[in-house]
Amino acid sequence: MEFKALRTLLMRTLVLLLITFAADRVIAMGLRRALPHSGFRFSVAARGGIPSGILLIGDSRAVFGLYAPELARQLHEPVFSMAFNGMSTLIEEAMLRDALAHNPKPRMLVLEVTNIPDDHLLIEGLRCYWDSGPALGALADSLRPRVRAATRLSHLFAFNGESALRALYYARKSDQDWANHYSMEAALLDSARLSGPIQLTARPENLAALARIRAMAREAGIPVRLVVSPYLQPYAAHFSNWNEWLDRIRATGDPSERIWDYSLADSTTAHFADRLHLNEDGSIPFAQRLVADGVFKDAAPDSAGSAAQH
Amino acid sequence: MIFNSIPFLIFFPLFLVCYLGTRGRVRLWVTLLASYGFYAWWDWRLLPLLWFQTSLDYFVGKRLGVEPDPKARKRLMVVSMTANLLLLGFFKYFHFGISSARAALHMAGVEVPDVALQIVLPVGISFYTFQSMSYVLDIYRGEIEPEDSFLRFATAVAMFVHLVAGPIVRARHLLPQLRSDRKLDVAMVTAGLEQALWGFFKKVAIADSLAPLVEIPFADPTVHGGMTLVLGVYFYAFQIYCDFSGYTDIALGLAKILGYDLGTNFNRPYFSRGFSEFWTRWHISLSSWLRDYLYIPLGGSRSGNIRTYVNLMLTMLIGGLWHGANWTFVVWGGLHGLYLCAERFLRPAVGRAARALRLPPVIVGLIAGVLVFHAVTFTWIFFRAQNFTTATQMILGIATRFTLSFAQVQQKFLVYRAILLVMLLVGVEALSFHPTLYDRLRRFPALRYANAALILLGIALFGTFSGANFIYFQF
Repeated sequence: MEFKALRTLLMRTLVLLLITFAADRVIAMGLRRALPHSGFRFSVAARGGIPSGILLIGDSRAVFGLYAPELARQLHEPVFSMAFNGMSTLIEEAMLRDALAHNPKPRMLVLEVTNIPDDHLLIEGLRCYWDSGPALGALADSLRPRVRAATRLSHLFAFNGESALRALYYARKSDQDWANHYSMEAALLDSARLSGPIQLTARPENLAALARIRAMAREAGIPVRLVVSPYLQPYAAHFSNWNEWLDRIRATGDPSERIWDYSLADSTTAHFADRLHLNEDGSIPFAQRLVADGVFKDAAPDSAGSAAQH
Repeated sequence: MIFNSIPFLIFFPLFLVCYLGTRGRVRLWVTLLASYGFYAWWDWRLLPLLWFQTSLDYFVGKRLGVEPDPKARKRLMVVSMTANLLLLGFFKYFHFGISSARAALHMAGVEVPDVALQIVLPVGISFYTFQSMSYVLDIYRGEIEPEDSFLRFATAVAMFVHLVAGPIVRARHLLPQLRSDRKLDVAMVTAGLEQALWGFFKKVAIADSLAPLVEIPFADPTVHGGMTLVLGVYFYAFQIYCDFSGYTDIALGLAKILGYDLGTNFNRPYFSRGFSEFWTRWHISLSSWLRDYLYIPLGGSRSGNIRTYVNLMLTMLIGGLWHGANWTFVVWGGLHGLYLCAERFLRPAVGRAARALRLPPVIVGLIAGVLVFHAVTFTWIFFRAQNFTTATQMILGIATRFTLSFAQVQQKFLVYRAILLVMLLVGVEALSFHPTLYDRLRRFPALRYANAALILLGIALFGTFSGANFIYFQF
């Protein structure tokens, strides 16, 4: 009796696992086919749809600091942002390698370079794109081998994350107009003012990745601009090692290459959504200023121009 | 070891093989040793405490069974209660008591040096202490006979499925089931698997997805907009429900796989139309424990209105304190006590008003349900907040900065996903209110397979696999 019950249960469990396995494959296959057709930035990059023009990349400070629609309006040429919240330089390198492999060569690559302290947690959030390029896949293998194995066990698990949701949301529209539509809370401003000294850090692997990106761009003949978008001034005033920090960034390539440092370029508190990020009221004039300063000209001016130095 | 961890996924099948391969006392030994191993995974040093409380209550129970003298019986009961409560009090409330006393003395102008002891809170102590206490109290009241077998009693107290976060299983419920070998029942195992899977989904897909969206506003309410705070509070209402009821479903489901019925601990509480109804649906094993061993012995509702209100308040304040050594939990319990008193006081007037307005019962129920849910959700602010400052900042932030805009809400896509998952939960629970339809659907094996497969796929698609602990472990 017990044996018969056990056999029934084992059979049922097996049937359930088979149904689940088959459904996992079928649903994931459908999603995988739909993924490249989305207007989400990484889907556009995966299908080779990045227009030849200016390519922007970095973390959330690039997302909200380098406002692609306004730059495109000002420059009268395509501007595409591959920036994403939490994108470390190491992930940025993998994304760029894969994007440059099957997209038209950009006229210029703009790196918002303040993502060198970022950790690499985002790699898990990008798991639905791990198979879209060898560099990102290899990075996932090295950073998250267990999660990578799990995505092979359950293909649907690859679509568990924010990126898949964004790809779904932007199925029929562009995602290039991301901006913060609000100003920061007074309490956040107060806490920024009252902050103690802030020691800026950098991860060695991010610095190494930045060096490789700069070398890769030079070999491919793509001009690179290193940009620092504005910080909330009362917050940035507490940075205790700013110049040394910039020197570490500078040392990742040709030291004479200029860093367009706009860290203190905006003193209007209402232009910020928080300590690190501009809002729409700040990002539009900042885009205009970048263009006016000649950041995107093929031959960059030698002088610091009007960029506020820290 | 927690249910949503790799070690447990290895532990349980191994245990199951040993469990099914043994009979009688050997099976009890297997269950007991596995349960102690499960507990020792956290901290083996805490096992002697569990052994002490188990042994004390077993021997007190045995003695109560043969002691005819009422005074001696009372002494035995008091010894057991005192020992249990002292241990619980020391491990759980020592620092709370000392810091509260220091604060009170400070207000009176007396400065006392701080006493700092490194006291580890034994996981599950609130649960197994209450369970063990109910055994002694039931024997004292003559409601059950003492258990002869120490092995069986120890297994009932320590069984890993309910040991660390409940439900608080009464000895009178579990001990009879341990007296005979549980047969492998296909229907029961299937039901257990379904319940455990649904519990996993509630924990890893819903509760753990909501957790970061709750953490953001509660970490510092002053820097967020009102909508973020409101969402944080609503999400917490569902996080704690899915976390705790998810744990319970896993525990009850695993118990069913082993052949034990441990009862029901949650019964769609957010559909309650009254506060007293809420407490018959939320953490039923605790609320019924407090009712049977505290509220009714205090006099219940038998001694007039004022005494009833006092009893309700006392019961809920102690219920609040049971959750944790912090005044925020006391306020949480106090608010629930006030709600219960207000409900009792206003019920006749509300009934008259509804009749006068000729409101259909469905509308009255709907209005009551929405009101109860929001009132309960308000209490969660105190339950979740680290301290009164945070709770006040949350409430003031919502009152002064709330707008209907999502502009300031961070991680919008995770918020949308969370809303979707909460709607799914509410939909499933609403469907289960229609027993005919629900049972009819469950009669089709194909639908049950599809349902189980959907839950598994849902876990793969929405699960958060950070190995996050269950909230109620801290209690």
